[in-house]
Amino acid sequence: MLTAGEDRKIIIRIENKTFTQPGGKTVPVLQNVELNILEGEVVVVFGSSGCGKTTLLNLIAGLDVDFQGSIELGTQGNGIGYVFQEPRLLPWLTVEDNLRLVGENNEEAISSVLEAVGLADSHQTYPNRLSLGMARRAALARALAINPALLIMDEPFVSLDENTAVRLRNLLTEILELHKPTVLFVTHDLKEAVTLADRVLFLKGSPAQVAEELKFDTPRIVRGPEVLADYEERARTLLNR
Amino acid sequence: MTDTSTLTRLALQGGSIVILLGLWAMGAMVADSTLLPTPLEVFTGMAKEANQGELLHHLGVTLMRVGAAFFISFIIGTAIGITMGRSKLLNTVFDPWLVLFLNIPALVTIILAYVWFGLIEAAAIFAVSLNKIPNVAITMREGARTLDKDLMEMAASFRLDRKKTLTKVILPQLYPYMAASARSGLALIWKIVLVVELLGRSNGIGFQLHLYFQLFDVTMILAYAFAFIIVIQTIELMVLQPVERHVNRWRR
Ligand SMILES: Nc1ncnc2c1ncn2[C@@H]1O[C@H](COP(=O)(O)OP(=O)(O)O)[C@@H](O)[C@H]1O
Ligand SMILES: [Mg+2]
Repeated sequence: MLTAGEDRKIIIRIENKTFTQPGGKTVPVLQNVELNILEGEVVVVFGSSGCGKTTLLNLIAGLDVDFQGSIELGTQGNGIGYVFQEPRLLPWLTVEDNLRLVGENNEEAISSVLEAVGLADSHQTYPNRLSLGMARRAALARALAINPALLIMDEPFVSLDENTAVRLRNLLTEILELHKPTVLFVTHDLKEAVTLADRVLFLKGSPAQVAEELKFDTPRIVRGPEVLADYEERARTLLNR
Repeated sequence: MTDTSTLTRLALQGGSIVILLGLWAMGAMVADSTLLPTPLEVFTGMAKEANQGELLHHLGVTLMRVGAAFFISFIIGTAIGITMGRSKLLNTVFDPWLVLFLNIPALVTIILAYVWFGLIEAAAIFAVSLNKIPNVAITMREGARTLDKDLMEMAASFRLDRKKTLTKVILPQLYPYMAASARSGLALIWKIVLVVELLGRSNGIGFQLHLYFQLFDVTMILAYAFAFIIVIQTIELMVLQPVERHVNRWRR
């Protein structure tokens, strides 16, 4: 297990990431952020709003190459499936064409992933006509459709009503159980973090660093209310240290 | 749009055209001169020239020129516009060129093209295209500048190849700008084509207008002009608008 996992590990070392503001001032955002992700592991990065979570994901996804450090994604799989904070579907393509666009051309595969996220009836629907919750599910389906080596999710359930968010989290849990992808999930919701994570990294400070780390042993699917309450309590204690 | 509001609009616009024709007819009656024929005379002249004369031939020739110049300027202008909209450096360097070409009077390009290349078809098309390219480029540059960064990041993160990124992500965002330049392009190009024909071709509407000008035949001048306006409006209604509706079908 260890040796097999070792070379499939995703290794991220951000020594320094700064932004230059319009005025010319350089602001450090991330410094010495190191994280290793094992294959099939669900790592949640927790941090307050504006602390640099999206910046970190964009570095890992290769959307921003202006930084010091290194990112090794390993070799297997089809790259990265990115679920952005906003769905970012192409409005001029139907839901199924949005999935086709990113490379999945197998009709059955498209049907089954849309079925999995509960959009079996929305193949031909244009994104404008979807509710936000449905659009989020379509964006999730798109990322899953390419069967990615790494699934990146940036606060994918934020600004949904709590019922919808809970439903989507349960849905995600089932999908994780089924496909066991490697996941990097960003949130500023502690409940969400302890519900989904194998491991939570707490991003803190300015520039942000990984300040704390918490590992959970109980498998996601069998975490009852008590376990979750306990995990949340432990997370809060860590945070307040 | 509901059916009744479409009907109301059609009725209003139809009525407005009738009033214009009426004013024209009254003016023609008052003036009572061959230099201002009535609408009826113009349209019978048009019908006669279409049936027995050369109107359709010249119309066809001019349309070919408009079409050729339209596609050349559209494709080149779009390519230039997107390139300049996407690259700060290229935009800075070539912006003065664009301004220069935008401000060269059509007449100057036409004369120079004929002087340099001779009174040939290619020179005519070249001159017209050169006049329109900067307009298309500027409209498309505006479109390329407003490309949605979020969608571009999406395309990059899912590793879409260049072709997919262009045809599925970039171009659909530019369709409204393309429609705008197609419409204004059609309107501008056919007017310049007439000048090109007048100055250096031996067929086409512009050539005929020149001919009837020398004969002082205002009826035929108006007949040719209206024939072409009708054709251009038909293209707008039957081609441009349906295409626009099709590419916008996803909008709510
Ligand atoms: N393109 C940018 N230019 C300048 N500053 C930026 C840019 N993107 C993000 N920032 C700044 O970097 C910090 C981290 O942003 P972000 O990663 O979006 O935070 P989070 O996703 O954790 O809410 C914020 O202070 C933000 O203002
Ligand atoms: Mg963010």
